[in-house]
Amino acid sequence: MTATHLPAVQRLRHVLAGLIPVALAVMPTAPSAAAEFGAGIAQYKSFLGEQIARSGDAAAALRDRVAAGDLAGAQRAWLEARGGWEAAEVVADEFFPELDAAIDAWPDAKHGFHAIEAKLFGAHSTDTLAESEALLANLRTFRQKLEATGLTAQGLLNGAAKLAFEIGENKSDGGESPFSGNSLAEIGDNLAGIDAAYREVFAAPLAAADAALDRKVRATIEEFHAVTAAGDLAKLDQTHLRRLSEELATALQAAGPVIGLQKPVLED
Amino acid sequence: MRRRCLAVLIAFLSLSAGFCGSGTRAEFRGEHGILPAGSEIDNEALSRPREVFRSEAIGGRKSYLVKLGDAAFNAPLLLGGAARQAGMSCATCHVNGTFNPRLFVPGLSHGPGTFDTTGPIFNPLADNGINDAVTTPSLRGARYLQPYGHDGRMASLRDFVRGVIVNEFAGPEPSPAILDALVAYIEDIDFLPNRRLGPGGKLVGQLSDSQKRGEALFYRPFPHDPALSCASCHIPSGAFVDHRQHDVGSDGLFKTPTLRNANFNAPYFHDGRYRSYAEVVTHFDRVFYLGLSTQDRRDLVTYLTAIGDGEQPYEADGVDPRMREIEDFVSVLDAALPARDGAAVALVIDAVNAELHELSERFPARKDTAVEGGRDERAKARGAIKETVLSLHRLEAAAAREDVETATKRLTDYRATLAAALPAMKAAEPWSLFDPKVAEAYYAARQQLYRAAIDPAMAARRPFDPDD
Repeated sequence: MTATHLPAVQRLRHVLAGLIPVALAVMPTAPSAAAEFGAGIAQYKSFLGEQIARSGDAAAALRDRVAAGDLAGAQRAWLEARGGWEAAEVVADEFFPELDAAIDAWPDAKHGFHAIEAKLFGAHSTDTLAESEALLANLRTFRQKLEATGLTAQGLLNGAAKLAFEIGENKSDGGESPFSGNSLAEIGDNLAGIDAAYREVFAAPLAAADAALDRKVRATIEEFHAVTAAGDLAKLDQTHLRRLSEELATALQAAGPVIGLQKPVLED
Repeated sequence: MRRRCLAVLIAFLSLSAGFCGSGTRAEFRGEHGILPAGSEIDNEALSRPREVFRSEAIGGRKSYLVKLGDAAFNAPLLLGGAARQAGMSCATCHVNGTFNPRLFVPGLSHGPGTFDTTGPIFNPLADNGINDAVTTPSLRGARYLQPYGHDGRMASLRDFVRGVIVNEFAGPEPSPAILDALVAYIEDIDFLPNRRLGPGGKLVGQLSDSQKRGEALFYRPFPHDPALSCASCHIPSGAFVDHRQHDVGSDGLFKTPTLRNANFNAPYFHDGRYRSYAEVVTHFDRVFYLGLSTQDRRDLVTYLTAIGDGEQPYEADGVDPRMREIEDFVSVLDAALPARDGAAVALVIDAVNAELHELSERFPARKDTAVEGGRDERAKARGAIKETVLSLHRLEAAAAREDVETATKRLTDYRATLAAALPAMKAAEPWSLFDPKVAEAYYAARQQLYRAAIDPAMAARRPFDPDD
């Protein structure tokens, strides 16, 4: 995890530490309807808004630094924008697939984060103003749509399970952001997003309905944090990470019916 | 059949490497990761080398040992260090028991298809300080081709395999049973049949004049050393080898390579210095003062091409062959689980997991904007494969607890999940990377992206040249 991302993750954990007791206090003990997730979803939506705002602000800085021909500044802004985006990825594909494809397209040399990443970190060029402006516009649209969209507990559980699986599927070998070498930091950001979704929306009802499964999810997330703290992709235990990823996705799938939701699908 | 989209570069050196077989072209690529910048270890061809098993060719079936060895051969878990981290297995270099013409690791390769097994990356303890890259040999007919290693340093295939795992790729010491299985698998990989070869390795059937002249030249004593001829070392009746090492002017003693199926094994010589038979013939003409005419050289090339041929050298990749291979691996569990053979179970699950992940990547995700059409079908296929992966995970967890009863039930569940996934995969196949047009669009987009990432200052550098 890069220094750029550490403050955000630490901040998130700090915020969560304060929110969890509140959430536990207000959540019903055995939810039977999606409406009962409302308070947690509202909290999580606040987290998402913060992450997307962070990404959007950084994307504005990225556009400015690119326009000024400031390569180092543009690279820093890209990393910051990426951090916010990855932390919000639980909802990206699940709720806003078209925007997700425009913002995070792969492989695409003309649109999205990776087209800009290729120029900034591969070619060491700031010749990417049009792409940066488009990214900024898309992130602003994303923020507006996020504010206007009612997130569902089922969708969030789907998104969390999908992302948990995806980390072990193709992020762990370094392929997520190949030009910047930011993949490990992005795994951390993804995990922060999953962690927030779980703790704010699902932890309390699951603890009430199946305390053992709740402990399993929490323990897996904690172990995930520990493994990805390696700080160096080459030192990451890939097999362990893959198993954790599958373990977390499996546990989140099991949680669905226990808390009155469907078993989350991993792709739809 | 291993090949996840591996991720390995820091800077973006260069650009494209052709490869044999039909299919796509792809760029040297890489990312920040485990292998050096510019590494290329994937083989994403649309056609794959055909693997012929001797046991099946003579009317039998692959044994448990052969299937276990095949699974172990495809399991990154068998190796250690950077290789395992990068998701490499034996099959990364020996694709379907042959070789990988695209394999390239900067600093460890002279060119595509070559690799230095005593370099600093995969086992620093074996690093000898020089780039002495050699070609990855095809394993077709390995049972007939002892001794092993380009320099023939190992009489035993078993010893050689162990050395590759432990010394070259820093893997854990394999159990005797796993070594037995690996040897059984390798020894079951047969040559592709060649109807032009008759008894004693003679060409048969309708021969062209050039082939006849080439065959005669092959047996003709060398003018300056009548004890030698091409055939004296490449003994036609003995798989075109003599099981000995010779100095043929290639910087040392190297064993006689087989000429069977050699049409598909370029580049030639231990270090891959020659790309064609014509270059090889010219080498021998020069080193042994053969005095060959232009026509003689052509005739020898014609002859070599005839004896080096093989039927159906490649086969189309797709869902069905992948599923057959996966089922072959999984069938090992029917015996390994009740036998509580933890090593075998772990290797099989590792190999199957790798296969499933690779299969999933063949169905581009929604964010893969280079691929149009079949979005729902692709999503269903990916989802079904992911469910299969999680089913395998549950099996793995039960097996790790040595809970045989639960693991056996999980195996049944896994098979049912995979069977349920098959229709979704078949339905999505026209929009998968198994389809030539889809693959072309996908790899073109990827190449475009990587080209956009080329630093002009880096691109201007000369490519690596071992003679520099």
